[in-house]
Amino acid sequence: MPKDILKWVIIGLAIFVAVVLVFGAGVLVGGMKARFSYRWAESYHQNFAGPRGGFFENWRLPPPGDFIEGHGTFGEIIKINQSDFVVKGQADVEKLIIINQNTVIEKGRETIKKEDLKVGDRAVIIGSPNEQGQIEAKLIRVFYVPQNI
Amino acid sequence: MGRVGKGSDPGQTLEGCTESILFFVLIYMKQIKQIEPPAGLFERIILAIKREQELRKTKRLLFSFAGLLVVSLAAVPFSLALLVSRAESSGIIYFISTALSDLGIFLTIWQNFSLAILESLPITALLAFAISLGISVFTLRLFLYKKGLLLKYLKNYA
Repeated sequence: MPKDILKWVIIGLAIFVAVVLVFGAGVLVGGMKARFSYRWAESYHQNFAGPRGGFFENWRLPPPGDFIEGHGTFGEIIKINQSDFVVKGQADVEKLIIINQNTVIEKGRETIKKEDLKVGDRAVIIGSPNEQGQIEAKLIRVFYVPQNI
Repeated sequence: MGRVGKGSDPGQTLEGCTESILFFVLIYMKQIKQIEPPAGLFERIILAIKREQELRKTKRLLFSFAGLLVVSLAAVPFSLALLVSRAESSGIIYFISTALSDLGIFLTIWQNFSLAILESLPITALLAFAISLGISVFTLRLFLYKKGLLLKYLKNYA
């Protein structure tokens, strides 16, 4: 009888710890997404030279739908600048990707240079968000897009 | 003797053969009082009642099982389709495939990879799929557990 009670107490504690961990992870990830979404919306005017949807729109509005992800994105490169580029990802949300000397850029198995990136390339970016609502890329992986589709 | 009670034909009297029938009824009733119920009758009645209750319970269980199984099995493909479409649109598949294709870089920046994957997890679709699959498995397991009882009921009463 005491063994049974002990067993159930241990099971209950394990479930409690699992629930707390999952809840904590949810709060952490949700908080990061919310913070990045806020910064993204705050800096939209500065990053993309004009408010989203035109100059008469309020550029401080949050992105439509869910909060946006700040540690990774994927989509099509729509603009390339000196040290950054713009990716249009899911739900047509544009994100400014910062490239620095530590960024690894790959195409398939090969490592390529920043200059090899082209508008229209589809890429996966892994990095970390900064205070300006941009993503500082650590890995950019360009996908081969099959021709004649 | 006189007339019969209120509900009878007022013209009918209890004379002649009617009186003799009453006499036999009286004798029969006296004999009934002397008849003892067969041994074990009470137990048999209780057993029959219990069996009937068990059957009703089985019937209720069978319908609940069937309803739950149909609903959950119908929900599984829909929730799976939802999960696949959400996983595709969230980009989690690209992040995972990138991580798997270059394990060296994944190990170097595993924190960013993990956060990117966690951020893009399609939680709602994942929950819907897990719940519908869980209910289906639970119902099937319960069905297999009570298989004998349910099949017996179906065989006898379907």
